[in-house]
Amino acid sequence: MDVRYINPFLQAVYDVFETMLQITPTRRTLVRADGKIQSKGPVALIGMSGPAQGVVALYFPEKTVLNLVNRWLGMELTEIDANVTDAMAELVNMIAGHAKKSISADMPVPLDLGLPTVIRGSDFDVGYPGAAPWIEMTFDSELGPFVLRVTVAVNSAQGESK
Amino acid sequence: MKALVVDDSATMRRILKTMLVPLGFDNVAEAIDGLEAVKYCEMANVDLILMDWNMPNMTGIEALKQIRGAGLKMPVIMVTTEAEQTRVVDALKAGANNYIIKPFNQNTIEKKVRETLERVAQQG
Repeated sequence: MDVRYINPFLQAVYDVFETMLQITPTRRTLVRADGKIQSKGPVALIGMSGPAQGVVALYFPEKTVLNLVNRWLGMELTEIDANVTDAMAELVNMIAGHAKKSISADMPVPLDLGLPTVIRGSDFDVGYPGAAPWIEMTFDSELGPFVLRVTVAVNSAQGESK
Repeated sequence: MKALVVDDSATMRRILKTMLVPLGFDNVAEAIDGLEAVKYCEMANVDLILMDWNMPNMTGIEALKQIRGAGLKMPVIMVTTEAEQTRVVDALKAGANNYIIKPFNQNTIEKKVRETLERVAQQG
């Protein structure tokens, strides 16, 4: 994955959390990863297509995501339900959408976003049709830690700079 | 005043409804996609529509085109992650009155809604 695409995702996390949740996350680590995701909490996924292809995965420990949704929606949830998965889907949608504006600036046409999906499982592999590595960014916040994992590969036939 | 919030995310519908109440919208209906929005607008009058772009069944931009194609003139504000200039231009050409990019806060919603309603009122 081109390192130029890392900053748009970092900035998207900061902007989405600060604007929608009034929370300022702190980046903890940024490492190369793969599509094998081990999470005890739900994972929100969204695909990107067009002049580049990619996948964005956002995941939280269960306690963090309950804190987050309760803060965001003024609820008092104690377990993962449809409110939680819907909120996670919207968060990953906003993060990917925010990042794609910067990434699309180098593309002949804007990237397209798919519809987000939320899955639950403790150990799975996200298949991705490309050789680009994943970048994993971990964050701390007042609501708890969370992880964003991203892969983006430019389609050389379409994604040349303007 | 009556508004229609169109978004496939229940979270976003809930947040937008909460933000519209202090602006004088005491009746806020919901639609979960463009298709439902078009059907609702054919049956009921609303003073404002907040419309997402990416939704299953029918996108917000397609719904907007159908609403304008049916001669309906209520103000429509797109509320979307589609932030590129070309998308904004496409929406305005299709008949959107204003555009809000996610993420947003209460101040943004208030400013854009008031600006839109004032502009539409001036146009008569």
